[in-house]
Amino acid sequence: MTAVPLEEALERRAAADAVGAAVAAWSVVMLALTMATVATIALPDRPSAALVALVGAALIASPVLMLPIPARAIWVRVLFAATSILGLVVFTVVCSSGVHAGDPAPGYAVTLGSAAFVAINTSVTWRTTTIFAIPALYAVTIVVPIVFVVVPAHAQWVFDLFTAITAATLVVIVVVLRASRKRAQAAFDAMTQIRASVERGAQQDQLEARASAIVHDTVLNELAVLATTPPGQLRPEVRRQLESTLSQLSREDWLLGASASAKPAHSAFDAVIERCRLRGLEVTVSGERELVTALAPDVASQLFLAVEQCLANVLKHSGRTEAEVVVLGSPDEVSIMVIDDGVGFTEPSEPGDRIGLRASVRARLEELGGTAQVWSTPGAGTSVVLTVPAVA
Amino acid sequence: MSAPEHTVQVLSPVSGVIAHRVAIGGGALGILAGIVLSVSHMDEISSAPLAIIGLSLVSVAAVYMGMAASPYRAPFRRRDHAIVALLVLVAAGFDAASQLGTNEVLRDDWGPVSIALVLLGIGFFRPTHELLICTAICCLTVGAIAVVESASFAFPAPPITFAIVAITPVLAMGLSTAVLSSAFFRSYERSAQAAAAGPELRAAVESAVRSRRLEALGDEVIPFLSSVLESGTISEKDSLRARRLASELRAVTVAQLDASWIDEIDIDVDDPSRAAEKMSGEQRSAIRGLVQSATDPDLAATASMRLVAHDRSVVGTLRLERQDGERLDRGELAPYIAMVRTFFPTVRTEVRGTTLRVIFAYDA
Repeated sequence: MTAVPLEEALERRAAADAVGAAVAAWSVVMLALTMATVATIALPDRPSAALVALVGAALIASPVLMLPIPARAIWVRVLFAATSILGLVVFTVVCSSGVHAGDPAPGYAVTLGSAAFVAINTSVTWRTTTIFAIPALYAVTIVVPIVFVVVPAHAQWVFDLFTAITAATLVVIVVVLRASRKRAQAAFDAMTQIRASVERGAQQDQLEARASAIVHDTVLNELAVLATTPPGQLRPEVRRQLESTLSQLSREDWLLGASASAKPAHSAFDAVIERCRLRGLEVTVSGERELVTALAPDVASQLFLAVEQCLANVLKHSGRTEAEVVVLGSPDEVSIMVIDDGVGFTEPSEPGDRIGLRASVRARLEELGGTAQVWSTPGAGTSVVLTVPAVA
Repeated sequence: MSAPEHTVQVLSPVSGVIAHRVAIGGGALGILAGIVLSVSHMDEISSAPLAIIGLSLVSVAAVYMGMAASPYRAPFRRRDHAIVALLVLVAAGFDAASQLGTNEVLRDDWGPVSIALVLLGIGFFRPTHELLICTAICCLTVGAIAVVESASFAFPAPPITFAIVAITPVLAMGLSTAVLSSAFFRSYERSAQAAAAGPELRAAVESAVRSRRLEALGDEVIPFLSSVLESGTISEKDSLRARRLASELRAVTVAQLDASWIDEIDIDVDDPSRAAEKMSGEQRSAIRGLVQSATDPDLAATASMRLVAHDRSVVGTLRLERQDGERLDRGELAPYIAMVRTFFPTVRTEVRGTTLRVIFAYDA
């Protein structure tokens, strides 16, 4: 079986998109919380400083604007990286404006902004950046406070553990993803192909079963009739049936059975019963006939073809020329029972036995999500119950 | 069986394998952060036993997370999520309790950081709404702890500031894991639509099936029926030919009815009751994936499967074995094992020497 060609494994693409979106979300939330922290501390006293800090945070976050761009040129990356560094400088300077000699620096707001800076600049260059970019970005978050705060204000430099943990976490994620890449990509591709192959196989099984049912009902039936027809002129009904079969197989849509639903369900059901009567079977119909009108057209047409095959089996195998058809139902399902008091049969003794029942009845019902149950005892007749879901 | 949950691990077992490694890395970092921060600010700890209990709990949470996230234990369930979240929250509580009254600086507390790190890979394992609920519970707890502690902090700031500072890593990690889960599904569905299985696939398959059938019938059967119809008569020879053609066509039809999807994969199957046909599409994908991967030249295993039908269920035993006496690379098989575990209600794996046995059950 040929697998469906796909441009790219669905899972691989989805996983890459998801990781990128998650890291970007992490960074944006970090910045939002940073701003909230700054606002609760500084806004009441220094609204203008808080506003400048907001501008700095926005500049730090500016590389997320690249996310919708699939192919990012190197100059675009450099431009946004420079903007982000500028944002970090502005943010650090503003948030450290009250720092005096000997005070610890960087302060907490600066560490939050620094962690977001590392995460954002790692995530937007996710697919191409080397792992060495993370320590480089982390180094920037050390250099900026030292150059712009610690040295000018003679502040006391303190280790920024929060940003270090962020950088270490990103290193772990990148290392795991890179170590898994080769094996994972092969597995992603294989999985996509397997799923496509199974989906195609399911469709193929369904259509093969339907084709077998149609071939059985038409070609095999005609060959069986010709095999038992005495030499001489063809009887008119045999001729009509042959014409019908050859005409059906010459249509492009014979496998899809598009024309089967042309009639309303109740008249299609009546037509099936009438055809069987014309072949010499005396059919009695009882029960809730109106239930068949609730069936979807394609369900009804397949169900009636299965009923017709059951009635053909009565005529062919039971040794009787009478059969009873009973329509039963509930809100969830519709059942049609075909009963005869003929010779009955036992379970198939060889693979070729009862292929009409398998191909034309069971396979059709399974395709509809229904069931075909058979009760038969030699000498005591046969009952077949065909049940389908009653969803219009 | 109940329907598989809407998680990345279920839809993409390969991502689940990668996420397992991320979870292990996150757990290790979570423990490390706890130890480093405790040691570096030991002067703020008033109760060493409580601090040790807290560190022990975060270690248990990380180990549990690493084990539950394993593809060999897939899928990661809501109960696992609740246990890990509860353990890390209680651990954060012990961290705060160990510094109660002596905690001067909030930013060096390891509790919130460890929660975020231990739950680093959780976005792959649980559905979006559950991640959001868990994040909200964790933030409320961590924020409340910070407010209770705020009396002892040296920095003069309102309690809300300390609450925001405390929830920062938890909220950022929690929301990003929820975004990851949601973004994966949106991207997957978008890509799946673009790949356009659906009507085009059905039309292609329909065309292939129709052509094959007509080709088979066109050689002899249809010309024969046409010639009989054209002549309007039938001879003794025609009757004999009709009988022969019917017999041949019947044999072909029976062979087609007996064909199974399992025939297409490289495996010895003992399936007297044709129970393989009862598997769902996902279950077939999982078995097919595992067998294809194991029998790939890289792993060079042989595969055999036995399916035994019972009243309401089918029990299958898939046996994978290398003939050269080497051990099977279980890492290579991990995503496929995860897929089998996800789509079959009952699965057990056993390793005996060079043989891996996967025993599974499904509804008949």
